[in-house]
Amino acid sequence: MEVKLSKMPEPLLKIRNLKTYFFTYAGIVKALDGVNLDIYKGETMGLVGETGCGKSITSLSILRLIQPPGKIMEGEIWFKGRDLLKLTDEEMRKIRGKEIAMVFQDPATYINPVLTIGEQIAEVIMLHQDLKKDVLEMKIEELMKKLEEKPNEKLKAKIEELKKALNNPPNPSKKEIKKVALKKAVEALRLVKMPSPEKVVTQYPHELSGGMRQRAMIAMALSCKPDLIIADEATTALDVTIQAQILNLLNEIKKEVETSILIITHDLGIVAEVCDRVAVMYAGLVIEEADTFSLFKNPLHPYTKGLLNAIPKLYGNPSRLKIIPGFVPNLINPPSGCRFHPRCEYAMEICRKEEPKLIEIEKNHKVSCHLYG
Amino acid sequence: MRKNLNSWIKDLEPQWREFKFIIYLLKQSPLVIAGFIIISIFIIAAIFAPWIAPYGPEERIWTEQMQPPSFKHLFGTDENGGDIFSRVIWGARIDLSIALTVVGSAAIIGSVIGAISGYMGGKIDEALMRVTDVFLAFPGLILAMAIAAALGRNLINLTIALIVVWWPSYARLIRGVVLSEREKLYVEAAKAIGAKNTRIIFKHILPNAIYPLLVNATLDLGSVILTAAGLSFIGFGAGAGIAEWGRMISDGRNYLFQAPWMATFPGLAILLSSLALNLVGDGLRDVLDPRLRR
Amino acid sequence: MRMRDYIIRRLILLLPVLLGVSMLTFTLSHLIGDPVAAYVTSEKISEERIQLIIKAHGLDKPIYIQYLYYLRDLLRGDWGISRSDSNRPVVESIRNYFPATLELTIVAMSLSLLMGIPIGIISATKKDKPIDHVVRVFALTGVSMPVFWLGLLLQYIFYYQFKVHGLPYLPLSQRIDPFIAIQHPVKQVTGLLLLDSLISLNPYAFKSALEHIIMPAFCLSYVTLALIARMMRASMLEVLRQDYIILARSKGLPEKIVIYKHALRNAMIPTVTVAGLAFGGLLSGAVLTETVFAWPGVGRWSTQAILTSDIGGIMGFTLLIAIIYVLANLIVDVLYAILDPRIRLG
Repeated sequence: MEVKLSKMPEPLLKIRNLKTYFFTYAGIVKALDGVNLDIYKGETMGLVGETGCGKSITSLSILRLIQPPGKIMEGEIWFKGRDLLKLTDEEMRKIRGKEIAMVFQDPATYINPVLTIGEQIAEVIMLHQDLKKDVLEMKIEELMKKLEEKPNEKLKAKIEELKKALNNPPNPSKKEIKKVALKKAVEALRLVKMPSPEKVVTQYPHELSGGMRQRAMIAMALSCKPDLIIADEATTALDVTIQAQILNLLNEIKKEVETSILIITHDLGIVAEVCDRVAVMYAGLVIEEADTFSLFKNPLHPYTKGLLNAIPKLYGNPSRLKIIPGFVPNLINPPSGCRFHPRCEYAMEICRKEEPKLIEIEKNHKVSCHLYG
Repeated sequence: MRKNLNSWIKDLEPQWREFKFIIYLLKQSPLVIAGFIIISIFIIAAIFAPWIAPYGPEERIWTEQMQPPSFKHLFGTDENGGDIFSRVIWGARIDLSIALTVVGSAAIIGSVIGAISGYMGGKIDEALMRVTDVFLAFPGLILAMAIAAALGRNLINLTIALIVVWWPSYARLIRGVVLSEREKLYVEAAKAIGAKNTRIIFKHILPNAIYPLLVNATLDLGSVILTAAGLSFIGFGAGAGIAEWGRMISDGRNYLFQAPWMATFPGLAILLSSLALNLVGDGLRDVLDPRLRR
Repeated sequence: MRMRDYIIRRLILLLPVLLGVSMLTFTLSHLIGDPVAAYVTSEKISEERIQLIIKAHGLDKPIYIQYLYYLRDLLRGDWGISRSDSNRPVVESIRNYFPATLELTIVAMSLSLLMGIPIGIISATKKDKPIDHVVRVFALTGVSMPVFWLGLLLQYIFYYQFKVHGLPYLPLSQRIDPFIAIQHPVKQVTGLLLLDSLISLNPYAFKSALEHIIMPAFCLSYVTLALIARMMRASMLEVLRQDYIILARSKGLPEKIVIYKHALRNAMIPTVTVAGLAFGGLLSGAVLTETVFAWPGVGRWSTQAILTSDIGGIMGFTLLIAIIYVLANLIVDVLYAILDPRIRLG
């Protein structure tokens, strides 16, 4: 199902027909049943939906972190020219943390309590980066400092020797690698505006506040300058003020590090603030995808309309809250045809029978609804 | 009258459904079923010993001493001509009843003390916890040894000694449950309605303690059997000639090389009964752990 | 720095518990019989001597004063006389027998840890595969096993059956072959034969000591081994479900590092606690094992003491065990603090 994209470059991440099922005692939960998503280079993409619609599962599926009883059944995830679902475990491991990194929801439970922050950032760096040259550069730097204090010929000669070796650096010892990695960890923490990064690097997670911990997690994700950062409800566990700080931080970083960000959230407010484009999910499917402005100004899908209507307004005449009637669908036995039809006020005969496809209606505004074709 | 009975049954319906669900989950595990069957065999043997055992516990046949296992004597005979098979069955009576008595008494005593300690809090709690600390400062077997020595070496004193050793862990357990439940909102609600303290403890808090209590009790039954047998082996508890498993092993030790069956079968009985209880206890623990269920 | 404060704090908390323990043994000594007997060497003793002893230990005073005398005696090193041990002073008996038990316990504990931890890890990482089931059944038999019966079983197989069938067999009892002890005497440094024979470069004694300690140590370690394997498995499974493991994987870390660096360090914490608590079980088990293998340790001494109503011996042994147990708990707490930075740094 190739969608005609008007004059946009090839997306960085292209998900097609992704199906992830969970085989449970009660039945097969079709958490993702044909998800389609595009993320472009350098943009902040939002993925919204209610709890249980499959947002987190999507992010875990991208990184292939789905554990039994879950299984990615079919689909394609194109990333930089490769289908991630067809890679070997080893190849996938090389991508995790390096080209695609993830920031999780609750920094209290997602950071290992018995390792220092520095250790946890450094390990990503040591794993994915070749630090031979950096070690050498560090050595040179140290020696040059010594030179300033006490200049002598022997030292100068040594420095020249090392500088020559920069093109073919020797294999450093583990200790040296660790030292360099920790230095880079400090830099990563500086990038996320962590106060006193040199101190934080030696501290344990429980010694930091919630906001600081979240910054540390972001630092871990950034440390190898990935092409895509997935922020899965990254601010849900934080207070509103810290939330705002973190969101701003993500945006600034995006420019500095040249990365795309996928923000997964249930909060439309966050979407409105930081996302360039947004996709709406319902019951395991993406039902609308557009740039933020268009979505808010002109929501096409009845569900999206319902979501926006449900936001209480601070102006105008006070009125009753508009809700979306009905219940969240059962993913073991989803409704036939369009999954939203039992709750939709515009439902037609065809909605019950046939599942609508994701079609581009206006420029860069896709929707999956029979109302539009 | 009719109406009362019906409403009472209706009240218990959720508990009944819960109970049936637990049984259903337990039936899933073959290990638990195996354990249940084995311990049932022992219990039946213990209860129906007079009818099942071919010979009496003290019966001696002087002409058939130290015989290896045969059709006539399934487990062989000992140095006095006693039939090991029968004595093991009679021994089940002693060891199982000691275990039940000890665990039952320790659980009740410990629970009451723990409940009071947890609910009252303050100085009473502090004092009682120091007391349990001192008891728990000793390894069980050794404390039981010392107490059994103080009281005199027979089975009744052994039982008493074991009760003294085991009650502190129940006190701790129940106290823990009471402490965590006490803070919960439904207790405040009950107090707001004006419920009396004892009513709160019994009707609201204790039912939450049933599950961990049950799990611990089942596992402790196995431990008590091991400890009681161990003590009898060294010489506390069952006197000479009594058909108790630990004692039989001690007697059999003297003839270990000539007549290994004397010590083997009672030991096997201890191992199997304890194993069965542990299997059931483990299964119960897995099933009753609230996190693992849904 | 916080570590030192933590240790000091725990040591101070130790005192009330030790005090309570001494009260318990004091009470027991009065329940078992006449406390005078703890200080008396033989039956035939003159009235005057008895009176002297009573006066010296304050046994004619009211009970709470008696307790103070008791404490004083304990701290002075006068723990009474052990009648069952040829009327030696109790502290001397302890000095003689304790190293044997210590050696046995250390070897047993080492076996339990060295085998139990890896078994537990393997069982957790290969959950529900055949090896897991084998380990789980083994662990279950471990906690259900009558230690003394296992000892007899081992003796029957590795001593009797092996001997009868002409195979090299393990010795039945004692710590070392008496002939070897004479021909290649071991210098008593620590009292731990294995260590001492290594220090004095005595291979014959080492071999003999090793042969003698294998069966009792294995027998003693069986239960603790099973407990540790079980706990390791349970806590590994628990840890592997945690969120930070997902994060570790999302970083692209190889599974080996996820397990051994991220998971293990967290899973060790409850396991260490269990191992420390199991120490008490080792002491109990030592009593039974030493009896079966005629191992000259405090366990065997205690059984003799209790069976012959040697009050001095009983009290001495009980107090010793309680002190060791309490110290072991302290060590566990300290280890806990080392492993878990949350405890250490508050």
